[in-house]
Amino acid sequence: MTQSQNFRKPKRFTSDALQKYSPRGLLLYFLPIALLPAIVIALAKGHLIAILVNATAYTLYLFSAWCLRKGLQAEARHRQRPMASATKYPLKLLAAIITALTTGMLAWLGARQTLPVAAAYASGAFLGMFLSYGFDPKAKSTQGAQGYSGEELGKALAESHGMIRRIEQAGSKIRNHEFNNRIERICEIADNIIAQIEADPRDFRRARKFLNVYLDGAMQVTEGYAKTHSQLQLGQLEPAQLEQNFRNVLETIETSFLEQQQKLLEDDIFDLDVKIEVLTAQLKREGIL
Amino acid sequence: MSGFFRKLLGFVLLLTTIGLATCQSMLKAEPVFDQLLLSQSKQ
Repeated sequence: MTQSQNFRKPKRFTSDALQKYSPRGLLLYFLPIALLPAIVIALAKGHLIAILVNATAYTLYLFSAWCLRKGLQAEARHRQRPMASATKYPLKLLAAIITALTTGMLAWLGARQTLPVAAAYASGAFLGMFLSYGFDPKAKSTQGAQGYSGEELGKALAESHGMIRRIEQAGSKIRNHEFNNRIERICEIADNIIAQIEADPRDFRRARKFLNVYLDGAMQVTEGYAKTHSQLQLGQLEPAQLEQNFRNVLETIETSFLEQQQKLLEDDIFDLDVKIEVLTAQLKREGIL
Repeated sequence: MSGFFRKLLGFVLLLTTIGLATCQSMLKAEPVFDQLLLSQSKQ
Protein backbone atom coordinates (compact mmCIF):
# COMPACT_ATOMS: atom_id res chain seq x y z
CA MET A 1 0.00 0.00 0.00
CA THR A 2 1.44 3.38 -1.01
CA GLN A 3 1.80 6.36 1.28
CA SER A 4 -1.05 8.24 -0.45
CA GLN A 5 -3.39 5.30 0.12
CA ASN A 6 -3.00 5.71 3.87
CA PHE A 7 -4.57 9.18 3.79
CA ARG A 8 -8.27 9.17 3.22
CA LYS A 9 -10.47 11.98 2.08
CA PRO A 10 -12.67 13.43 4.82
CA LYS A 11 -16.16 11.95 4.91
CA ARG A 12 -18.92 13.94 3.31
CA PHE A 13 -20.59 16.03 5.98
CA THR A 14 -24.29 15.39 5.74
CA SER A 15 -26.99 17.30 7.57
CA ASP A 16 -27.74 14.14 9.59
CA ALA A 17 -24.28 14.38 11.11
CA LEU A 18 -24.72 18.11 11.65
CA GLN A 19 -28.05 17.62 13.38
CA LYS A 20 -26.56 14.94 15.61
CA TYR A 21 -24.30 17.53 17.20
CA SER A 22 -26.71 20.48 17.10
CA PRO A 23 -27.40 22.01 20.54
CA ARG A 24 -31.08 22.65 19.71
CA GLY A 25 -33.41 21.07 22.22
CA LEU A 26 -30.74 20.58 24.90
CA LEU A 27 -32.39 23.33 27.01
CA LEU A 28 -35.03 20.90 28.18
CA TYR A 29 -32.34 18.67 29.70
CA PHE A 30 -30.97 21.55 31.83
CA LEU A 31 -34.10 23.51 32.84
CA PRO A 32 -35.45 20.99 35.36
CA ILE A 33 -32.06 20.54 37.06
CA ALA A 34 -33.43 22.16 40.27
CA LEU A 35 -35.48 18.99 40.70
CA LEU A 36 -32.35 17.01 41.59
CA PRO A 37 -31.76 18.84 44.93
CA ALA A 38 -35.53 18.70 45.48
CA ILE A 39 -35.41 14.89 45.18
CA VAL A 40 -32.39 14.68 47.51
CA ILE A 41 -34.07 16.91 50.12
CA ALA A 42 -37.32 14.94 49.90
CA LEU A 43 -35.34 11.70 50.30
CA ALA A 44 -33.46 13.07 53.31
CA LYS A 45 -36.68 14.16 54.97
CA GLY A 46 -38.51 10.98 54.01
CA HIS A 47 -41.37 12.75 52.18
CA LEU A 48 -42.63 9.98 49.92
CA ILE A 49 -45.08 12.12 47.92
CA ALA A 50 -42.42 14.78 47.25
CA ILE A 51 -39.93 12.10 46.14
CA LEU A 52 -42.47 10.58 43.76
CA VAL A 53 -43.64 13.92 42.33
CA ASN A 54 -40.15 15.34 41.77
CA ALA A 55 -38.59 12.12 40.46
CA THR A 56 -41.51 11.50 38.09
CA ALA A 57 -41.37 15.09 36.85
CA TYR A 58 -37.61 14.89 36.24
CA THR A 59 -37.95 11.60 34.34
CA LEU A 60 -40.77 13.00 32.22
CA TYR A 61 -38.76 16.14 31.41
CA LEU A 62 -35.81 13.99 30.28
CA PHE A 63 -38.12 11.84 28.14
CA SER A 64 -39.66 14.96 26.66
CA ALA A 65 -36.20 16.35 25.84
CA TRP A 66 -35.29 13.05 24.14
CA CYS A 67 -38.51 13.15 22.07
CA LEU A 68 -37.84 16.77 21.14
CA ARG A 69 -34.28 16.03 19.95
CA LYS A 70 -35.49 13.05 17.89
CA GLY A 71 -38.26 15.22 16.43
CA LEU A 72 -35.78 17.96 15.51
CA GLN A 73 -33.48 15.41 13.83
CA ALA A 74 -36.41 14.00 11.86
CA GLU A 75 -37.39 17.53 10.84
CA ALA A 76 -33.88 18.15 9.50
CA ARG A 77 -34.07 14.94 7.45
CA HIS A 78 -37.50 15.96 6.21
CA ARG A 79 -36.15 19.31 5.01
CA GLN A 80 -33.66 17.40 2.83
CA ARG A 81 -36.21 14.95 1.50
CA PRO A 82 -39.73 16.48 1.58
CA MET A 83 -41.34 13.35 0.11
CA ALA A 84 -40.32 11.07 2.93
CA SER A 85 -42.60 11.08 5.94
CA ALA A 86 -40.84 13.04 8.67
CA THR A 87 -41.53 10.76 11.62
CA LYS A 88 -43.69 7.79 12.44
CA TYR A 89 -45.03 9.66 15.50
CA PRO A 90 -45.42 13.44 16.02
CA LEU A 91 -42.47 13.60 18.41
CA LYS A 92 -42.30 17.39 18.82
CA LEU A 93 -46.00 17.58 19.62
CA LEU A 94 -45.57 14.69 22.07
CA ALA A 95 -42.66 16.53 23.73
CA ALA A 96 -44.77 19.70 24.05
CA ILE A 97 -47.69 17.79 25.62
CA ILE A 98 -45.44 15.93 28.08
CA THR A 99 -43.65 19.16 29.07
CA ALA A 100 -46.97 20.98 29.59
CA LEU A 101 -48.53 18.18 31.66
CA THR A 102 -45.38 17.72 33.72
CA THR A 103 -45.08 21.44 34.45
CA GLY A 104 -48.76 21.60 35.42
CA MET A 105 -48.41 18.51 37.63
CA LEU A 106 -45.28 19.88 39.27
CA ALA A 107 -46.86 23.29 39.93
CA TRP A 108 -49.94 21.64 41.46
CA LEU A 109 -48.46 18.77 43.47
CA GLY A 110 -44.86 19.94 43.96
CA ALA A 111 -45.19 23.71 44.32
CA ARG A 112 -48.74 23.37 45.82
CA GLN A 113 -50.29 25.99 43.56
CA THR A 114 -54.04 26.04 42.96
CA LEU A 115 -55.39 24.06 40.03
CA PRO A 116 -56.14 27.13 37.81
CA VAL A 117 -52.60 28.45 38.41
CA ALA A 118 -51.15 25.02 37.60
CA ALA A 119 -53.20 25.02 34.38
CA ALA A 120 -51.71 28.43 33.54
CA TYR A 121 -48.20 26.99 34.06
CA ALA A 122 -49.04 24.08 31.74
CA SER A 123 -50.45 26.41 29.05
CA GLY A 124 -47.36 28.64 29.29
CA ALA A 125 -45.03 25.65 28.90
CA PHE A 126 -47.02 24.36 25.91
CA LEU A 127 -46.96 27.77 24.24
CA GLY A 128 -43.24 28.07 24.99
CA MET A 129 -42.56 24.72 23.34
CA PHE A 130 -44.59 25.69 20.29
CA LEU A 131 -42.93 29.09 19.90
CA SER A 132 -39.42 27.73 20.46
CA TYR A 133 -39.54 24.56 18.41
CA GLY A 134 -42.81 24.48 16.43
CA PHE A 135 -44.61 21.25 15.64
CA ASP A 136 -43.81 18.33 13.36
CA PRO A 137 -43.82 18.92 9.61
CA LYS A 138 -46.25 16.91 7.53
CA ALA A 139 -44.97 14.77 4.67
CA LYS A 140 -45.47 16.55 1.38
CA SER A 141 -48.45 14.93 -0.25
CA THR A 142 -47.30 13.49 -3.52
CA GLN A 143 -49.60 12.57 -6.31
CA GLY A 144 -49.11 9.16 -7.79
CA ALA A 145 -47.01 9.28 -10.89
CA GLN A 146 -47.54 6.82 -13.72
CA GLY A 147 -49.30 4.14 -11.71
CA TYR A 148 -47.33 4.63 -8.48
CA SER A 149 -48.93 6.12 -5.39
CA GLY A 150 -47.19 8.86 -3.42
CA GLU A 151 -46.64 6.38 -0.58
CA GLU A 152 -44.96 3.88 -2.92
CA LEU A 153 -42.71 6.59 -4.29
CA GLY A 154 -41.73 7.78 -0.82
CA LYS A 155 -40.99 4.22 0.32
CA ALA A 156 -38.90 3.40 -2.75
CA LEU A 157 -36.89 6.60 -2.41
CA ALA A 158 -36.34 6.01 1.31
CA GLU A 159 -35.04 2.52 0.49
CA SER A 160 -32.72 4.00 -2.13
CA HIS A 161 -31.41 6.50 0.41
CA GLY A 162 -30.77 3.61 2.78
CA MET A 163 -28.80 1.78 0.07
CA ILE A 164 -26.66 4.85 -0.63
CA ARG A 165 -25.84 5.19 3.07
CA ARG A 166 -24.90 1.46 3.16
CA ILE A 167 -22.59 1.96 0.17
CA GLU A 168 -20.95 4.88 2.02
CA GLN A 169 -20.54 2.78 5.17
CA ALA A 170 -19.01 -0.14 3.27
CA GLY A 171 -16.74 2.30 1.39
CA SER A 172 -15.45 3.73 4.65
CA LYS A 173 -14.12 0.26 5.58
CA ILE A 174 -11.98 0.05 2.43
CA ARG A 175 -8.52 1.54 2.94
CA ASN A 176 -7.80 2.55 -0.63
CA HIS A 177 -7.76 6.21 -1.64
CA GLU A 178 -8.76 5.58 -5.26
CA PHE A 179 -11.70 3.33 -4.34
CA ASN A 180 -12.83 5.73 -1.59
CA ASN A 181 -12.95 8.58 -4.10
CA ARG A 182 -14.85 6.53 -6.66
CA ILE A 183 -17.41 5.32 -4.11
CA GLU A 184 -17.89 8.86 -2.82
CA ARG A 185 -18.48 10.13 -6.37
CA ILE A 186 -20.97 7.31 -7.01
CA CYS A 187 -22.88 8.21 -3.83
CA GLU A 188 -22.96 11.89 -4.77
CA ILE A 189 -24.35 11.12 -8.24
CA ALA A 190 -26.92 8.73 -6.74
CA ASP A 191 -28.01 11.42 -4.24
CA ASN A 192 -28.43 13.86 -7.14
CA ILE A 193 -30.53 11.37 -9.12
CA ILE A 194 -32.82 10.76 -6.12
CA ALA A 195 -33.16 14.52 -5.61
CA GLN A 196 -34.07 14.79 -9.29
CA ILE A 197 -36.81 12.17 -8.90
CA GLU A 198 -38.11 13.88 -5.75
CA ALA A 199 -38.33 17.14 -7.66
CA ASP A 200 -40.20 15.50 -10.53
CA PRO A 201 -41.82 12.15 -9.56
CA ARG A 202 -42.73 11.51 -13.21
CA ASP A 203 -39.10 10.41 -13.63
CA PHE A 204 -39.69 7.56 -11.20
CA ARG A 205 -40.84 5.00 -13.75
CA ARG A 206 -37.74 5.57 -15.84
CA ALA A 207 -35.49 5.50 -12.80
CA ARG A 208 -37.10 2.42 -11.25
CA LYS A 209 -34.66 0.01 -12.88
CA PHE A 210 -31.79 2.20 -11.79
CA LEU A 211 -32.96 2.04 -8.21
CA ASN A 212 -33.44 -1.73 -8.40
CA VAL A 213 -30.43 -2.80 -10.44
CA TYR A 214 -27.68 -0.20 -10.24
CA LEU A 215 -27.98 0.80 -6.59
CA ASP A 216 -28.52 -2.75 -5.37
CA GLY A 217 -25.59 -3.96 -7.49
CA ALA A 218 -23.36 -1.15 -6.28
CA MET A 219 -24.31 -1.91 -2.67
CA GLN A 220 -23.65 -5.64 -2.99
CA VAL A 221 -20.33 -5.24 -4.75
CA THR A 222 -19.06 -2.59 -2.30
CA GLU A 223 -20.14 -4.52 0.78
CA GLY A 224 -18.68 -7.73 -0.67
CA TYR A 225 -15.36 -6.08 -1.44
CA ALA A 226 -15.23 -4.39 1.99
CA LYS A 227 -15.52 -7.87 3.57
CA THR A 228 -12.85 -9.47 1.42
CA HIS A 229 -10.65 -6.35 1.73
CA SER A 230 -9.90 -7.19 5.35
CA GLN A 231 -8.79 -10.69 4.25
CA LEU A 232 -6.64 -9.10 1.55
CA GLN A 233 -4.84 -7.11 4.19
CA LEU A 234 -4.21 -10.27 6.15
CA GLY A 235 -2.65 -11.80 3.03
CA GLN A 236 -5.19 -14.58 2.72
CA LEU A 237 -6.17 -13.72 -0.85
CA GLU A 238 -4.43 -12.68 -4.03
CA PRO A 239 -5.15 -8.94 -4.17
CA ALA A 240 -4.21 -7.84 -7.70
CA GLN A 241 -6.95 -9.61 -9.68
CA LEU A 242 -9.67 -8.83 -7.13
CA GLU A 243 -8.70 -5.17 -6.98
CA GLN A 244 -8.74 -4.95 -10.77
CA ASN A 245 -12.20 -6.54 -10.94
CA PHE A 246 -13.50 -4.16 -8.30
CA ARG A 247 -11.95 -1.20 -10.13
CA ASN A 248 -13.66 -2.30 -13.39
CA VAL A 249 -17.04 -2.64 -11.72
CA LEU A 250 -16.76 0.73 -9.96
CA GLU A 251 -15.80 2.38 -13.25
CA THR A 252 -18.81 0.84 -14.98
CA ILE A 253 -21.14 1.82 -12.17
CA GLU A 254 -19.86 5.40 -12.08
CA THR A 255 -20.22 5.77 -15.84
CA SER A 256 -23.69 4.22 -15.75
CA PHE A 257 -24.78 6.53 -12.92
CA LEU A 258 -23.61 9.56 -14.86
CA GLU A 259 -25.41 8.32 -17.96
CA GLN A 260 -28.54 7.67 -15.93
CA GLN A 261 -28.48 11.21 -14.64
CA GLN A 262 -27.98 12.57 -18.13
CA LYS A 263 -30.75 10.42 -19.58
CA LEU A 264 -33.17 11.54 -16.92
CA LEU A 265 -32.45 15.09 -17.94
CA GLU A 266 -32.81 14.28 -21.61
CA ASP A 267 -35.94 12.09 -21.24
CA ASP A 268 -34.28 9.42 -23.39
CA ILE A 269 -36.07 6.35 -22.18
CA PHE A 270 -35.18 3.77 -24.83
CA ASP A 271 -31.42 4.30 -24.64
CA LEU A 272 -31.59 4.13 -20.86
CA ASP A 273 -33.26 0.71 -20.87
CA VAL A 274 -30.60 -0.64 -23.23
CA LYS A 275 -27.81 0.65 -20.96
CA ILE A 276 -29.45 -1.02 -17.97
CA GLU A 277 -29.52 -4.37 -19.79
CA VAL A 278 -25.81 -3.99 -20.61
CA LEU A 279 -24.94 -3.20 -16.97
CA THR A 280 -27.04 -6.09 -15.67
CA ALA A 281 -25.18 -8.44 -17.98
CA GLN A 282 -21.82 -7.11 -16.80
CA LEU A 283 -22.72 -7.36 -13.12
CA LYS A 284 -23.78 -10.98 -13.74
CA ARG A 285 -20.54 -11.66 -15.59
CA GLU A 286 -18.52 -10.25 -12.67
CA GLY A 287 -20.46 -12.53 -10.36
CA ILE A 288 -22.18 -9.69 -8.49
CA LEU A 289 -25.82 -10.34 -9.40
CA MET B 1 -43.54 38.08 14.35
CA SER B 2 -40.01 37.39 13.21
CA GLY B 3 -38.49 33.98 13.92
CA PHE B 4 -35.99 35.39 16.39
CA PHE B 5 -38.57 37.10 18.61
CA ARG B 6 -40.85 34.08 18.43
CA LYS B 7 -38.05 31.82 19.68
CA LEU B 8 -37.03 34.38 22.31
CA LEU B 9 -40.58 34.57 23.63
CA GLY B 10 -40.78 30.78 23.65
CA PHE B 11 -37.49 30.58 25.54
CA VAL B 12 -38.67 33.12 28.15
CA LEU B 13 -41.95 31.25 28.59
CA LEU B 14 -40.19 27.90 29.03
CA LEU B 15 -37.63 29.40 31.40
CA THR B 16 -40.36 31.06 33.48
CA THR B 17 -42.83 28.19 33.71
CA ILE B 18 -40.42 25.25 34.11
CA GLY B 19 -37.93 27.29 36.14
CA LEU B 20 -40.61 28.54 38.56
CA ALA B 21 -42.33 25.18 38.89
CA THR B 22 -39.09 23.31 39.62
CA CYS B 23 -37.65 25.96 41.98
CA GLN B 24 -40.92 26.28 43.91
CA SER B 25 -41.08 22.51 44.17
CA MET B 26 -37.57 22.53 45.64
CA LEU B 27 -38.50 25.29 48.10
CA LYS B 28 -41.57 23.34 49.23
CA ALA B 29 -39.41 20.26 49.73
CA GLU B 30 -37.16 22.24 52.07
CA PRO B 31 -39.14 24.92 53.92
CA VAL B 32 -35.86 26.26 55.41
CA PHE B 33 -35.16 27.97 52.09
CA ASP B 34 -38.60 29.64 52.28
CA GLN B 35 -37.91 30.93 55.78
CA LEU B 36 -34.44 32.13 54.77
CA LEU B 37 -35.89 34.12 51.87
CA LEU B 38 -38.63 35.56 54.11
CA SER B 39 -36.17 36.65 56.81
CA GLN B 40 -33.93 38.28 54.19
CA SER B 41 -36.87 40.20 52.72
CA LYS B 42 -37.90 41.41 56.21
CA GLN B 43 -34.40 42.73 56.88
